[in-house]
Amino acid sequence: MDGGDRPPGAASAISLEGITKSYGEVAAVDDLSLQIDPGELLVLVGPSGCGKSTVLRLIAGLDEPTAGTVRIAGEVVNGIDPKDRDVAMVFQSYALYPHMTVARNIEFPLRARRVPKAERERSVAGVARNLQIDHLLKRKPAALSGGQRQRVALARAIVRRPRAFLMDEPLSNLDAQLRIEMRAALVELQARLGTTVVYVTHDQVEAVTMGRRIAILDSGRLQQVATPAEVQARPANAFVAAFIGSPPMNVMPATLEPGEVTTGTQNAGRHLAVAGGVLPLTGAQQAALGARDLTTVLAGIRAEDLQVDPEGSVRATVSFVESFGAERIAACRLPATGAADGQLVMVRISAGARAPRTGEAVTLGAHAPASLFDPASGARLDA
Amino acid sequence: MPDRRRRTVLGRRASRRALREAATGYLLVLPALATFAVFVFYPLGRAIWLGLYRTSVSPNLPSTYVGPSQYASVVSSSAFLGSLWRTILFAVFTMPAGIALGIALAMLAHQRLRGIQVFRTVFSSTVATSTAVASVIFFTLLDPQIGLLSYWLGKKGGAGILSDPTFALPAVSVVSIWQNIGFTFILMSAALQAIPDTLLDAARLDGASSWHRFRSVTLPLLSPTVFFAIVVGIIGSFQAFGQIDILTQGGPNNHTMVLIYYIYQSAFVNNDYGLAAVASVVLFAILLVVTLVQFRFVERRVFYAT
Repeated sequence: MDGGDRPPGAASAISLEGITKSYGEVAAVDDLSLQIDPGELLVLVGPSGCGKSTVLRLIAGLDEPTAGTVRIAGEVVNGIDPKDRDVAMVFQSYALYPHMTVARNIEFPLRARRVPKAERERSVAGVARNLQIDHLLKRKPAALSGGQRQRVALARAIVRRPRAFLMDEPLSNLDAQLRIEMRAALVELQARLGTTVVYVTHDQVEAVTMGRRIAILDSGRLQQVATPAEVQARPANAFVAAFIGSPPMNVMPATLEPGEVTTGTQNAGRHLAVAGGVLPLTGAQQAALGARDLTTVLAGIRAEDLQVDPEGSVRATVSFVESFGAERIAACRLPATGAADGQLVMVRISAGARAPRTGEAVTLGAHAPASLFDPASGARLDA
Repeated sequence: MPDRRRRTVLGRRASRRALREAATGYLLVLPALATFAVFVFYPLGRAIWLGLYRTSVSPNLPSTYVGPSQYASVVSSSAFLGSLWRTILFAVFTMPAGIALGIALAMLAHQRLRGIQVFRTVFSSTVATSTAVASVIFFTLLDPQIGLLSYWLGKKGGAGILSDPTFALPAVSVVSIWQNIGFTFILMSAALQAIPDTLLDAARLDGASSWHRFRSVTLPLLSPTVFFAIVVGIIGSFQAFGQIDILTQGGPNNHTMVLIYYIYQSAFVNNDYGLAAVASVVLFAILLVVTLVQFRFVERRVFYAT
């Protein structure tokens, strides 16, 4: 899969070309190509074990790829020692040196690079002030809170002004409140420094809120690289559809209705049959299905594109209604099709509308076309 | 008034409970205390007491009370001071080299390589070797006629390394280092495994060379274990007996006569229990002081992760 719409080359801050990393038979990263622009904050997101941390280690030089080329600022860095790649990494565990004070921790990369003492002290003081940890300089990491350790780890990465920051789930050890604060602080800091950041997370909310572009990884393979809005609106495959978004996209098996149907407010045309009713198809979708000669597909539709509508075309029973502040989500169960229970479908209740009661029989209407995926490969059909 | 009475009653009840708790506590430590009393405190007191009596030359005559003067005369004797000096030399020969080798082997075996377990087993195998077996192996290796080591070192024929005044103590030290290396290796390996890989990854990215990483990250984090190995090592080298008894019996010409062997010879070869008791008490005092000093000063430079 292509990593973006520009050709690989010197314009990228970091460029991965056909990267594979295998451990024996298992490919942790499988033929990954990805271009990261200078000054960009790119979020690499995926479930745990998808290979995203491995990608970071390959960029850092802590591991070498089995195949493929890694470029930093246009220059091939395969086989080049991590210290000569001029990138800094922030680890999930922070990896602060526990026997050194905060000042010594921040100073460590400068010392390792034999920066003169006066300059070291100036840099440490500057970064510490910047991150508001100047009052902690004499403490040892054990005497710091999680958020403070996080800032020290950031300071250590920033102090030598590297070409790029690699951040490996830097916020996942913080409590929820602090995580949201630090998320904003990181985005702001990145904008101020203008340094390229590759940010790894398993949290899709973090990915969607922080990244200008997000790259979704599963089983070592790149699934999609796009803006958060694009990923939400047009997921490249069924995996992305089910992984990104809260709640994730409803993905259900569907078959092409043989003839034209007229349903409620929808125009007559060809429809997809799903459990409990039908969903309309656009002309382009009909053409795509026709071209592939497919009659069964996976239909994906977001909670916000469904609504409880007396004129709707899909019958369901309300299981429960969840309330997140202003937003309410109704989980509705479609009629059972086989031995198993019917599928649960999430439906957003619009602001002014009455929330349905648990157990109430409703009809659901779609007010946007569904995304269609190939049932075998999961790939988007109208891509 | 009734209020105060109630308070005193409550107080009495509380103090009775405290007493009962204390009694239970003492009861629980009693077995340990009794064992220590029988096998440590009593022999120690007995040794101090014995040191006040001069053992007579003839085994049939009773010892005579001489008081603390025997302590003074033994401690200032050249035989005692000589054995103390050789014990210190022995510790200096064995301990730093032993710990350095243990760390080096542990670093080697810490690599993620195929078949590294074989090396881990080999490096730690001397733990399963008794002092007697180790000594006999080296006795054979150092034999002037048939010993491989003697041959390699160009010392074939003649009286042999163990009979050479210059090389006898270093040779015994080498045997001790070899014998203890397994233990040190296991200690250091365990300590290395406790250091998170991300710390060393971070140091690599921070630009530290492998030597710099070892010196400023690995070694400080190993320091509690190194400290432990030093304390145990000093005590161990002050108590080394088996290898000396088997390899040299204190010879040649007292060149491997370390303190513990001097005590053994005084007591069980020369039957001078008074002298042996004094030397034992002094050895105990030395070890106590050394350990206290180590805890007081060396520990300050040790980092314990909390």
